[in-house]
Amino acid sequence: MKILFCKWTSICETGIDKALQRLGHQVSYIKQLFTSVDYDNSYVDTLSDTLINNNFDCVFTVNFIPIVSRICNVFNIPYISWTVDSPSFQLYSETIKNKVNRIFIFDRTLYNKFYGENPSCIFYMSLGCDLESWDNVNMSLTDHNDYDCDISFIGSLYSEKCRYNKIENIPPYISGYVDGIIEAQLNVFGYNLIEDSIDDYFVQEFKKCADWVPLASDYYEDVKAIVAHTYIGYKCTEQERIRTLNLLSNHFNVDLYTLSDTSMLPHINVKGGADSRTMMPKIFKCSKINLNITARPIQSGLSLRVFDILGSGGFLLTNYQSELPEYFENGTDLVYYDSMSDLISKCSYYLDHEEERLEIAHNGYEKVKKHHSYDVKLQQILDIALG
Amino acid sequence: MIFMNILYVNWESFGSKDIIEAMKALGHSIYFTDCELNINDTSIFEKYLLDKITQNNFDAVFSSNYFPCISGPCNKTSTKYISWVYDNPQTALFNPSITNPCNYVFVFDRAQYNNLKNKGIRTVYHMPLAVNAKRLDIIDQLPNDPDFFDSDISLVGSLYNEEHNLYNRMCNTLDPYTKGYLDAVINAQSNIYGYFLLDDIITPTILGNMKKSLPYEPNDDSLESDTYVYANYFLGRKVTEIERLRILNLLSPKYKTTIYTTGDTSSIPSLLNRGPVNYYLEMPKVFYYSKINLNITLKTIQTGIPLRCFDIMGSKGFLLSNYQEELCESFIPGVDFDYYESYQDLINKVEYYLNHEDERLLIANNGYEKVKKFHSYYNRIKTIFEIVNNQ
Repeated sequence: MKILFCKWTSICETGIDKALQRLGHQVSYIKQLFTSVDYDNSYVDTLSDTLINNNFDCVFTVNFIPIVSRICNVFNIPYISWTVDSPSFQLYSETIKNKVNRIFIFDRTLYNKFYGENPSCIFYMSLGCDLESWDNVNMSLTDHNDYDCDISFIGSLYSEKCRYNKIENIPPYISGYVDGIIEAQLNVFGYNLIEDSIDDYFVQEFKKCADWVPLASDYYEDVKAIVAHTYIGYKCTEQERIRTLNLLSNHFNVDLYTLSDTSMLPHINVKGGADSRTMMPKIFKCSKINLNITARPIQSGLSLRVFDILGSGGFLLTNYQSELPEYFENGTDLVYYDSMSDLISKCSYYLDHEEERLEIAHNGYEKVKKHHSYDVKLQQILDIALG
Repeated sequence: MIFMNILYVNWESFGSKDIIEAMKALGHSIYFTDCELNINDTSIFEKYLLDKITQNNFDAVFSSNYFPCISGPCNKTSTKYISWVYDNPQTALFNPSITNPCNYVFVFDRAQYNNLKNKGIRTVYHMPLAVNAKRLDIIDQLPNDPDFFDSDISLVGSLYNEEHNLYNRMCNTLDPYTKGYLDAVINAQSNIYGYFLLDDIITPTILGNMKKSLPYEPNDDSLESDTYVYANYFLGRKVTEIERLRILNLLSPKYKTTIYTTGDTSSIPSLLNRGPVNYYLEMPKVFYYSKINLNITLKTIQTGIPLRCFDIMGSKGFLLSNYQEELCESFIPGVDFDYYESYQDLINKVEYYLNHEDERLLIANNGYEKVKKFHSYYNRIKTIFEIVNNQ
C-alpha cells in the first residue's frame, strides 16, 4: 500500500514508520511541519499538492491532526491516526466527525468519551512498541558500565509541563480544593476520580483564575475535562512522581533519566535525558527494575513506556491501571503496585529474587512480541481502517 | 452447652428483643437491670450495677454497644462483660477501659476490629450483625396495606443533614483553603466504594485548621486519635449526607422514591417522605412491599454489613446496596442481593431490576433464605457464647 505519513516529531514515529515498511508498505513523507494543528495555509498547499500528484491509499499521523483531516476530507482519502497521548485536545475539534477519519485511541476511557461523535470512524487500539529495533540493540561492556542499576525511571517530573504551576494568585479555596483532590487521588489506583469529584461551581471559579486560553471556535470546549486533566491531572502527576521517587530513593538506589528540575530529590542519581531510540532500550535492558508511573490523565490505558520496557526484555514494575489485566498477568508478565507501601515491599522483594524477576521479564517480552509489537498492532489498524 | 445466668442491661437498642429471644432459646437464664443508664452521669448506675452483681451470682453481663460504666463494675467483680456493638463509630470503644480483662467486645465492622487489634487491644472480636427472620411473620398478622407501603425505591434512614451536625458547625468558621481541601476530599470519597481514605488525607496542617475552627478534644485517657475523630465524626457523616442527597436527587424525579426519616427532606421535592417507621412493626412491611430497598452505608462503616441490610433481606425485601466488602463475602451479588459501585451503575441497576420483576423476587427470596439459615440471632449468640466460654 502507498501510505503518506505526516510526521510532526512525535517519539513514536520512527518505530511506527519502520514497522509499516516491514509490513511491505511504501511510505512517503512531507518534509514540511505544520505550524498549527488547525490552520496553516502553506501546509495546506503542500499536503494538497502531494495528494494531487500521488496516488496514496491512505494518510497516517500519530495523534489526530485536524488540519490533515480537513484536507483528506476534501480529497476523500482515508485518514488513519493513532492517538498516543492523553489528554489530546485535538479530539475536541469538530473535524473529529469527518467521514474519512479512522481514529484509533489507546485509552478506553478516552475512547468511550469520543466514540459517540463518529461511531463508524473511531476505534480503540492499545499501544505497542518497535520490538524488532529493540531486539537489534547490541549491548557492549561500556553500556553495562553506563546503565546497570537497581531501579530506574525515565520520564518528566511534569513541573515544567504543568500549567497549574504558572497560575498566579490562586484563591485559597481553589488551591485547597486542588490539594485535596490530589491528596485523595494519590491514594487511589485504577480509578481517576478527578473529573467526577469537581463540581460546576469549582470549575467556573477555577476558569476565572486560570490562564485560560479558549479553544478555537470550531472546538467543543469541555471545560470540566480540561480543568480535570490538563490542569489538575498534570499537577497530580508531578506530585505523584516527586513523592514516589523521593520515597524510593530514600530506600533504594534509583537512577532518574529526566530533563526536569530534580532539586527536590536529593537522594536520587540524576542522569539527564535519555534518547528514546538509542539510550532508552539499553537502560530498560540494564535495570533490575524498570519503573512506570503512568501520567494521571491516562485514565485507564497503558502508556508507551509499558510496551517499550517489556519489548526490550526489561522487568516492569508499574502502577495499577484498570486496562492492565486485559493484556498482562500480574506476577507473571509484569508486576503492579497499588500503594506506596506495596511499591516499597515489591522493590525489596524483586531486587532479592533475580530468577523470578528474569522469568517475569521473559514472559512479558514474549507476550509483547506475540501481541503488541508495532507490526502486529499496525496490521490490525490497517485491517480495521481499510478492510 | 453451658447454661448461664445473664444480666442483660436493657436500653432502647435495636434488636434487643431478638437477642433476648435467642439467649432464651439457647437455654440461658436472663435477668434485667432496673436502673436507668444515663450516659451523662453514670455514677448512680455504676453503684447500682456493682451492688446487683455482688448480691447475685451472674455468669456474665450483656449489653448492646459497649459501655465503660458496665465494664468498670464487671472488672471489679471479675464478671464477664459481653457487648455486641452495632453503632459505628462508637467513641466508647476508645475508652481505656476497653482493655479490661473482663471484656468480650464484639464489633461488626472488620476494619474497626483490625484498627483496635492493631492498637494491641486483645478484648475485641469480630461478629457481624444478624436478623430475626421470623419478623416477616408479622406482615401476615397485620392488615395488609400495600398501597401505603408500595414504592419503587425506598430508603429507611437519616440524611445526616441536620444543621447542628459537627461538620456544618465547623464549616462556618473554616478558612477558605481548608474548606476547599475538605470539599474536595469529601467529593472524592463520595465517588469511592470499598476504601475509606478520609483519615489518610488529613495532614497535620488540615487537622490544625479544623481544630482551630471547631475544637474537639478526645478525653485525655482516650485511645482515639484526633485524626480519627475528625475523619469519622466530621467528614464521614458529611460524605454520607452528600451521597444520600445525590442519589435521591438522581432517582426520585424518575421513580416513585420514598424515604422514611425524621429529618427534613424539603430540598428534594420529588421525594416522598413518610416520616419515621416503627422498627419492629412497620419497617419489615416497607422492605417487603418496596420493589427496591436501598442501602447507602454510613461511610465510617468501612467493611461491615449494616444492620439495615440484614433487616431488608430478613423481610424478603430486594436489597440494592453500595459495594461493601463483607457483604460480598457473605452473600452472592446478583443472586442474594445486588450492589452498585458508582452513581451510573446504580441508575443502570435500578432501571434493570424495576423491569425484571421475576429476577428481583427470586433474589429477594434467595437473600431471605440465606439470612434465615446463616445469619440468625440464634446462630450469632451461640457463637458469641462459644467464644466467651472457650477463652
